[in-house]
Amino acid sequence: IDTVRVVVVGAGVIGFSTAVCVAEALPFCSVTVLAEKFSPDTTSDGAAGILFAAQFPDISVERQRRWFKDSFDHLRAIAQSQQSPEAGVMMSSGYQIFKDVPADPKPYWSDLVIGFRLMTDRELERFPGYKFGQAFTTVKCECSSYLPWLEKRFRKAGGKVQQRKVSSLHDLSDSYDLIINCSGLGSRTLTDDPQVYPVRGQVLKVEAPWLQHFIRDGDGKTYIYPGIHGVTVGGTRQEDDWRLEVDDGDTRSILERCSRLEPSLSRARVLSKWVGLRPGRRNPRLERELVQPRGRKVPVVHNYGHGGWGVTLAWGSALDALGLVRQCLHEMPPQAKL
Amino acid sequence: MRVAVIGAGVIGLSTAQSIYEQYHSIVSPLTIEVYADRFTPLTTSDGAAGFWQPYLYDKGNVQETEWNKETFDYLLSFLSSPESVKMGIFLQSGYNVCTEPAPDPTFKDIVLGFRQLTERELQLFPGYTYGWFNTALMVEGKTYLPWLMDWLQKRGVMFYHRKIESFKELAESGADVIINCSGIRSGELQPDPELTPGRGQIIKVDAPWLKHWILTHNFKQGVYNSPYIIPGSRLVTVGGVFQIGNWSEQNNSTDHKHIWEEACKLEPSLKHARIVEDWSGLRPVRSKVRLERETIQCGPSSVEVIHNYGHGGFGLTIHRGCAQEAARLFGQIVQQKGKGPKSRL
Repeated sequence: IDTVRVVVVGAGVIGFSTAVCVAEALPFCSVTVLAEKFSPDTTSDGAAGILFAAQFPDISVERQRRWFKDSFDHLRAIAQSQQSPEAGVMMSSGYQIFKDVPADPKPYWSDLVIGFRLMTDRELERFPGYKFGQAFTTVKCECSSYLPWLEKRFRKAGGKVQQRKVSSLHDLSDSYDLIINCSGLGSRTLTDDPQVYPVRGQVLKVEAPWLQHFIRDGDGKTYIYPGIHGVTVGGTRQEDDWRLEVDDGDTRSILERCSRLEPSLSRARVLSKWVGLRPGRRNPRLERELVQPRGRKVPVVHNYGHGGWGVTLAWGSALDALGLVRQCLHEMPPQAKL
Repeated sequence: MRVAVIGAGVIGLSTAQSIYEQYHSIVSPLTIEVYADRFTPLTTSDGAAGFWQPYLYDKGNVQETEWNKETFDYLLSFLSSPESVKMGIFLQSGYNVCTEPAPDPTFKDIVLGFRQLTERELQLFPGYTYGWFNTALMVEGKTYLPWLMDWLQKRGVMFYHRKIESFKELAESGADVIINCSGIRSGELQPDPELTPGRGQIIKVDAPWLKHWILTHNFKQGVYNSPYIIPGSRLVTVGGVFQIGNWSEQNNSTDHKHIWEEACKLEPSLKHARIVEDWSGLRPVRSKVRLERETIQCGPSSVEVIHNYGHGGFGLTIHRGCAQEAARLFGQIVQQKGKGPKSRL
């Protein structure tokens, strides 16, 4: 059987997760990751990486649950193994607090994380102004370590890596038999998808090694995520904002909001500041299409637009994408492989 | 009035604090002096992980449970202030796991968010079939003790680096009340057959990806003789042993090997942790805490002694409750000596 030449565009958490899934499951494929940016310069690198489920309007709850569960179980196994420190994956317990009782006090993912329960009144006393809270244990996946770890795994499975900016998927149709598009925000130009737009996020990394719990405001704008080498505090959610520069006003706002939730933060030293553009989209695009750039039909599997949930959904999406890849290969006419 | 405190571990310093807090405006003059041959970071309190948790069951000793609760609530109250960082106080959640089902611990209503472990969680701990999850406090001796000393020094408490050989020595130098917080070495001041060392040895490692404490309980082996892993603000404390009657403060390589092997079984990721140092300490074990007054005759005169020692492996856990109780006993002495406010009528 001839080798099927697969290319994955994008080397963020979606790209590498998908590349590893394909390379490990389909040994007759030669897989190449092609990207302009690699860790530590991807959007994934700045993300705190706390696994927290999303809710997309047009995707079935079953499918979203499956994405979350697959990702959670995969990362949890790493967190509880000897690989934990090298992979940058650890368990993290904490709180999500709400100023008003949410419509859905027990969300669909509550049985997928560990030990989910409502916060007691005594626990809420620490957060004046907050009436409701959830406590649970989840996983934290730090891409600055996880991406190199995935790359190692990818190369071990025979994968190849190439640094290159891809301006059009059509350019790849000569060299590859199947394209997997994990270009995140880049898909806006790469596939002419106006539905994907930036949601600017600024975070700070502070030194506060005494903090052991994550704290997240249910509105998603204020959060404190203790990690392996620092605490990520944030954030912002600025739609259609393309600025990659640090905004001093945002810095002040983040420190002020987070210190209100966790007073000890006012004694924390700021180690670094970072800005990332989440690939926002109403729903992630996880589907296949057939492009025919120059007479030859080339299947494309799209896996992008995960917004602020890339790390959370990466492995589950990758497995889903692998399923789509299998379908493409199944339907591939024999002569296409020549 | 001259108060001499023997011992500068968490018990000595916190008792000095409670007495100052409650009586410095009532008794005038009130001179408080702390005598010790070991100060932070060389005390037993400094080596301890700094984890607030009493033994699982108080065995009817409700008084100690109340003191533990008082301490927990007191420490918790500082979390709303950035001062908590300077005190070494922070919250941490974790797991108490047992080899067999066991009744709920006595401290279940004191800690935060206490609950049973789910089946999925127990899968993390092969060999352990039952357990609980809760959020507790850390109070790290190496930060808390300097904070206490600073607090006391700012208020005029004097410190003397000196080993006290007898209560008589202090009585003769003019002390009105002696607070005996000499921990494991109390027997040198006054023989106490109930006081015995519970030797512990720990390994401090660099493993910043660990954010939960894990305490295992093997009821056949006894408390703290089963592995535990307690992350701190900088390093992770790995233990443990609880060797009754062993007075050695030297690190033992057999203990090290045993502790390390058991801990790595419990937490495989420890294999990649950098070992920073070993430490051994003697828990001042006693059937129950000795917290009581005694009038000691020294020739023609007598001196009032308040004993506050024998806190085993829960000194940091119980310190504030005991300090407040010791201050209450001090108040009795103040009344009897006619130094209280009423006496000025």
